[in-house]
Amino acid sequence: MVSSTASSEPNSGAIVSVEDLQKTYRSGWLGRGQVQALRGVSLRAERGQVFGLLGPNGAGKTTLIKVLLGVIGSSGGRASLFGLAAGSATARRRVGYLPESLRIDRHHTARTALRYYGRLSGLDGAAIRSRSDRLLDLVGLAGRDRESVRRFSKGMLQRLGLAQALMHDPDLLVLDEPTDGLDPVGRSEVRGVIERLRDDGKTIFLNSHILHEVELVCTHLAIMASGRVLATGPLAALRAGQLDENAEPANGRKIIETEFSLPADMPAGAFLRLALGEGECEPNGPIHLADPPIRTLRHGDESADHRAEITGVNQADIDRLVDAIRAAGGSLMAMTPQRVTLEDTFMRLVQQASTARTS
Amino acid sequence: MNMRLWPYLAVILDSFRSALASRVLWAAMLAIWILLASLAPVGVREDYTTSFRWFDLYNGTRMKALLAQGMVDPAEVDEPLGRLARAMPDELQRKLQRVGEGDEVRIRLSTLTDALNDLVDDDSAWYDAKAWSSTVRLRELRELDEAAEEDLVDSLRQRRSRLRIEAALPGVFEARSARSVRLTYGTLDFPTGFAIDRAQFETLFNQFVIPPLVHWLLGFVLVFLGVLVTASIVPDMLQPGSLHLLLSKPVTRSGLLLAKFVGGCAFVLLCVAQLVAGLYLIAGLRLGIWNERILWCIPVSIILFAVFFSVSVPAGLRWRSPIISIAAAGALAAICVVIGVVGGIFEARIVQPDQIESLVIVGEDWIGSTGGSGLVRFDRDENRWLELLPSEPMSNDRVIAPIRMDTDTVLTAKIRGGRFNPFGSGSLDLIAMTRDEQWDVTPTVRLPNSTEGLKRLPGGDILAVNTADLLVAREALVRREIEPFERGDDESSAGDDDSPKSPTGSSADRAGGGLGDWLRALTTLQGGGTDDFNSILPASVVLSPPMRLAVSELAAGAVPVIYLMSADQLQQIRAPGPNDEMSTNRASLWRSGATFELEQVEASSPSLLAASPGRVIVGQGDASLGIHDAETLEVVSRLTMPEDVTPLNIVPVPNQPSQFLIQTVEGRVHVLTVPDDAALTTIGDPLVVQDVRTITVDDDGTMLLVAHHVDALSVFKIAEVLDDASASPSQSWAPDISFWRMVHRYVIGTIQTVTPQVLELGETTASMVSGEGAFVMQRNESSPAEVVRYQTKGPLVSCLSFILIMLTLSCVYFAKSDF
Repeated sequence: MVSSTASSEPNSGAIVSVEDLQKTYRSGWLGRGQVQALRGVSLRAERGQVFGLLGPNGAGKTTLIKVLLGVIGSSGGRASLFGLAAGSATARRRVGYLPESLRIDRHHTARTALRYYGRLSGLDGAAIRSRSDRLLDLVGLAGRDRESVRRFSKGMLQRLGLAQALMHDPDLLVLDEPTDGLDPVGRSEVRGVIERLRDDGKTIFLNSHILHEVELVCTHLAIMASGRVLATGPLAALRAGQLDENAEPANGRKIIETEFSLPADMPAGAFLRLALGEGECEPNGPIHLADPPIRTLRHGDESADHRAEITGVNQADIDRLVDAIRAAGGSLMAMTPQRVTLEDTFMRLVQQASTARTS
Repeated sequence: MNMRLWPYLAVILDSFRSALASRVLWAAMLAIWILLASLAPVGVREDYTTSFRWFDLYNGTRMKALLAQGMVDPAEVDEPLGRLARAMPDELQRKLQRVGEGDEVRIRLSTLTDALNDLVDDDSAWYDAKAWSSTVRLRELRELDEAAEEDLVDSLRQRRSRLRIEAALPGVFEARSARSVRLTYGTLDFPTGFAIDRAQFETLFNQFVIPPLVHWLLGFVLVFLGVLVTASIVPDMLQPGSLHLLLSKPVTRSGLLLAKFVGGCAFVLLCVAQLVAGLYLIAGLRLGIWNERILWCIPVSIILFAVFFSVSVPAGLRWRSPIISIAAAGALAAICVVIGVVGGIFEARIVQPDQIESLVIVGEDWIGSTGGSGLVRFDRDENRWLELLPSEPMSNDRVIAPIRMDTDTVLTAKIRGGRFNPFGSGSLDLIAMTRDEQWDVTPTVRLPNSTEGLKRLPGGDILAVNTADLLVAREALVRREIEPFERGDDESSAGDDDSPKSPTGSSADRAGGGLGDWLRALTTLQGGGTDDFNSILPASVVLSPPMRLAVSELAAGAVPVIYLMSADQLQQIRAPGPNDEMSTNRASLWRSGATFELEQVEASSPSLLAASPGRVIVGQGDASLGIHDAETLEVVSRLTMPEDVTPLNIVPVPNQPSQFLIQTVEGRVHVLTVPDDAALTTIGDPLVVQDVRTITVDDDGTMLLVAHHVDALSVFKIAEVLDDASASPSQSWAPDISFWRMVHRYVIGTIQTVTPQVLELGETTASMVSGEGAFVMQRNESSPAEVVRYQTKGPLVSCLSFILIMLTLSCVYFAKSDF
């Protein structure tokens, strides 16, 4: 999908480029009430990526998409699609969009809806006919194209929405919460279509608050909260907690969960610090990014039993820890290697952001 | 088509689909089809006009008096009047007998017409060819009388009976067409027919049936339904799942909104087109009226709807609620109705009473009659009209158009309750007003009953025209009544004078009482001669309303002559010549002159008659004027009217026998030049003045006085306008107006300008469907015609501008707002 035309783009292949984008909603008489929905968002999505925008409700994801599509104007900063000003008719011509809670007028069938939205995208009759069949097939509505959409399930409507977004073969597909409100079957069907498009090399910009969905389909990600991008990068990197793309890759480091017991009078936190090197650790609280990366430390029913989650350790660290437990007269009950989940990164970032905001 | 427009076309087509999918649309269509199906059996059948209806009686009192005379006058026993009266039912005969004996007896018109209709069915009891030979028979009756009895079908026989009755009772009936239409429903006949022929029915249908039907049916029902159905279009579009998708497409917001607007009109278009096309087909197939102008109702109705929709759209944009959209459209409708009603009230109660309806130049003074049945004199120093007889809003009285007696005196009459009834109530005196008396009212001679107009004959005698007769009073007689006042006598002495106030009493004295007394009273009751006014109508001439009358003098001998157009005949009635001067009863010496049978034409505008010493101009209400020789009445030329000239009144210019001034229905004035070679007759361009109410010229033919724009005045020098129609008036006056007129002009006028004129759009429909720019009502010859000029372009411009402004505001709001 990354084609030779990439060099013709002013931003050398950046399909979506956002710099310091701001949006303030005004409300009330004379616009006195203000809500800052975007507070300087910057991100880039390149050709061929499936770029996920992840964030809790109210993070500003939909606002960002609306600005990109020109549905609303920005209050500051720059946003461009294909190097063209976001919202311009030329840019919009190359975008396929599936809105959140899509609404298709009830007098349509799948086929007439495709014809209508195809016309709106500027297609002629012949192009609409030829593409309709392919897309109905792609989204699995081939046999039901003449049925009124009144009889469609939410999943079918969403797949029809995907088909209409693809009618004019857009260079960028923007999906706003594509699986929101669907049952597991519906989600799986929609996800199947997105995966097929990803495999075909389509550039997709999607927005979700469902971590699992994003993890399953996205190649790249930006995490948003409170109108800011907290982290952005390839999915794998964010999953590993590597928030800065330019930092050394965390090769060989892993997360372990360990259960151990220490002599009764020995403080577990101080022990772990000693064993793994200096660092701060609050009992029963989160451990911040300081070294050693002890994420959680809990004490069992017996005061000598402890359970700890430790991130970013290599094999030497593990050996040292085992030795130290044994040398201190304790015993190692379990040690399980853990996979870093996106949720870990996400939760950490969102919590940090909310802490920062409250402080 | 331009590819760029395809997306918008798609939105419009989608609205059509959406409308088609709407249940309300199908319900509306079902209602329309039921309506059309119920109208489809309506048909029309033309039949001879045979039976009398109460509204055929123009002058019921005269009829009563004539029949009473037939009952009591021994001379009438074997005459038509006597034969008819004696064929009446016994009960009615008794009443007529009492009328003849001088009792005040009320007889219902329907009783009279029922009795007449019985006579129509069988004429064997009353008809006698010898008796009827003395009556004046119209052409149609002459032809029927000549036809063999066995050739006549029943309806024609009845028609003949009716015509014989009409001939026996001249001046009683409204002129009706020989054939009248009768509505049918399937195979059933409606019980009563219309007293109009096919052509009139067509005019009536196009002007007064279809436009209101369409305007009100569409205006109230379909537009309301349309507003209900379309109110959700914009709020639906603004639903996030719908709007954001639309806005992500390469379409402009304004284009999108306009396409939705046009699409919203689709609903109304679908309904209106079916209804109007259905009415068009029913009118064509069932009534034989193929009037493709009916289809104009479709776009006009769409514009009407668009006005309300253009308010519902911004309301929907702002509040995103169908309920508020409907409320906004409803509020606009309420505002329009209130403004319409208030405007109408001001128009009827404040403006109309001030409207100048007729004018006369009396020496240096200008006197006019008003729409409020008053008389006013213009005071140039104070720049305002001064009241001589009070004007009242919605007055039931009738003031007879004033005439000039001499340079100091004006003559008129005010008939109480006479606006809709030629007789009115109370006494009827000719009123004189003189400058020396500060224009105070001086009652003079008694006018004949049901007098409708006055004319001054060349030489000074006064002609009174009523429903059945032409009567002349000698100038000297009238003058005698004025002079006691001029000599400074007080009113009581005037009352002791040979007063005109009890003509029947004084005539009784002269007639010596007895039967003669009754007859005299009956004659007066019939509208016949009084002490001072003597009938001049030759026996061979019968007046049958509507008629037109013009007074002139023949070039040779300066003999006054009256031209009369009545019942498709143009005839001359000549005054006695100088050689007859010594005769005692000059009135009986007027004689019938040349006669000319006019062709029957399909009239669409008022008929007209004007005469100069050389020419008589005849307009029969079609699109041409006939130019006749004043002596022989032969047609010397015909002039086809330009499209925008519908003559309403033609005024000869004194001392300029070849020049006439035409006041048109369109509210303009043109010069008509009829040279000796009549084929070269021309109509000039309109004068600069507009919205003309009435015109008059002075005796010398040098000055033209025009009343326009309610009560404004302009004076033109006739020599200048003959030379160049674009000549400016030599003087113009816009009189000072009252406080309420100012409120009407500035407050109501401003509000009317800024609100869409949806009520007036009905006039646009009427004008487009009928193809007429105005509707003229003229009850009788002498009363000023009431012209209702349809506002055709004004309401359209007002509504379209309103739509444009509302849409522009909506587009700006939609483009600038975040959704």
